[in-house]
Amino acid sequence: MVPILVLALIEAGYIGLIALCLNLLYLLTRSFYLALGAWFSVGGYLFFYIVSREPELGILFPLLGATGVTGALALLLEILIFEPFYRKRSGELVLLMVSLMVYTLLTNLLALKFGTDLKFLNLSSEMNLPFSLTWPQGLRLLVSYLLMGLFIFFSVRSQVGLKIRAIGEDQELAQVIGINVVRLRRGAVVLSALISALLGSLFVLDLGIDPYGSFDILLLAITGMLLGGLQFPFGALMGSLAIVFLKHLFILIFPIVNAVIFSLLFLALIFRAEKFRLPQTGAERSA
Amino acid sequence: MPYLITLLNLLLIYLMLSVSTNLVLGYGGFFVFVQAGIFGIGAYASAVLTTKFSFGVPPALGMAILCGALAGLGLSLVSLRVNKDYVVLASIALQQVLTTVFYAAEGITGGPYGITGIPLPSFGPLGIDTPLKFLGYHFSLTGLGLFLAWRWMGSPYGLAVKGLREDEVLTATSGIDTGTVKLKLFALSGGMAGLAGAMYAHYITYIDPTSFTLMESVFIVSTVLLGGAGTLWGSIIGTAILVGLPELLKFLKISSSALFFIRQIFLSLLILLILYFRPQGLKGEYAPA
Repeated sequence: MVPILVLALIEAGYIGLIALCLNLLYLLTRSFYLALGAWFSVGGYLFFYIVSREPELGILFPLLGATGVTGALALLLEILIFEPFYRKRSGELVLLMVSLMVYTLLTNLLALKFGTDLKFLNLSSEMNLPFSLTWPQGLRLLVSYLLMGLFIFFSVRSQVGLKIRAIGEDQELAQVIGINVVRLRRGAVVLSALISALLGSLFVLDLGIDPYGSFDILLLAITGMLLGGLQFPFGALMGSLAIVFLKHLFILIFPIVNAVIFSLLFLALIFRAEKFRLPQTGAERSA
Repeated sequence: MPYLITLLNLLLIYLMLSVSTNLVLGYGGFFVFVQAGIFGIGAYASAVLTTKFSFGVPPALGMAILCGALAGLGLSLVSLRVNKDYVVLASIALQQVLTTVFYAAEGITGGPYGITGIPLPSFGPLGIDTPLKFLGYHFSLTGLGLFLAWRWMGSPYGLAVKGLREDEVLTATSGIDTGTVKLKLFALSGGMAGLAGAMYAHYITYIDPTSFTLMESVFIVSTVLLGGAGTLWGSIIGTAILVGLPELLKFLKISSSALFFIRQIFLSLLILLILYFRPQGLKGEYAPA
């Protein structure tokens, strides 16, 4: 039971973090940023590539390099691909499609370059912590919850967090009062890509990464986000933590547990639809 | 010539799939990424019935249509409750569920090894066992599908579907039961996709889960977006271009696995360009907002 709880805690950490990033981007773009899954894979592959080529660099520098490059790429694609659609005032459906196409583009580029077999460094045996925790697992646990805590703290307490919530309420009004929506959105994309790439890199240490594997993580995070509610940040966080613990309970009964979780999303959309009505923006309320 | 006939046969199967997607996406305005999964349901239904239970091909085709329609109906239940963004998500989730089940249910689907030895179609004394006979068979079924889609979408029901796409609230206030319209639309689309799956299974005589993944759904949606959403000509043009294009790439002597990734990269770039510069496609009447 304890190992299952520990594993659940680790997975809940990174799924919760992904859900927070998705929720943040949802507030700023009003669409589900599926490309986040691609940044997870890109970061992981870059990290694997650097460590394989230059093992003498250790772990830290390749980690920083991989996440930095991924963040820069995310900013570049945000400016080149997403912003033209924002300027065109494209609807949520079109933005979702754009995000999915960016995901498809990047993951297939990775597959073309690296193939689809699992890439990992297999460093799990190097150090053991209490409760049969390997050091990559411990690192994922520590990094996820530390970043989650910082994320929530800044979302709730800082001026930036307040501005982001203001944009989520009414983007046009936020612009009128002087909030630079474009800069905040770019910052959010880069931050989310950095976090996603960092998590992807940590995966490479023991679990491994393949181009398309991040999609299931993304869907889990979205499921949690929808079940917990789209109110930033606690709804997404609670929902994703709940869904991960549920998944680890189900693992004991159902072998195809991801299929069960996605079925839950499907059933939730049918039977609990009223929970997924987005909170109305100020503009929508006054219309 | 045999190569061209093979290409035409595949084109006709994918045209059926594209039309089934166009009904929901182009006419109904719902982006869905589950057509490959429903295609798989039809293929596996027909394959399992003919290989494991010795069904004849005609009843197996009927079951494939029914299974596809039921899957479409399942997705339509989501469309009754939430807005179109969530229908997209639900369709992606359903696609992932189906792919997982195709891989995991080894006793039924053969898991990653798939099902082999699927019999060729036969209708009494008429056996479909040559490429040319397959061409006639696929042409008849796809032609029938196109004809029915043309009749449905040209009828008052089709007007109601387009009304749903343009303004669901206004359509509802004019007395049309939009719920029933959606249920029928998704069921029709699912049935056609299921039939396409059965056609595919009995043509290729081997199926495995790799043909029914999310990336295949992206390909099918691309045929609609490129050719044009909301018109049958759109499906014909889009399918002809996108099924034909990889065949041209084969002459460049690229390995088949690399060809798959190059195709997906090309498709994603193409859809991005279409969504920005020409969202209605080459010959469509509906442009996603």
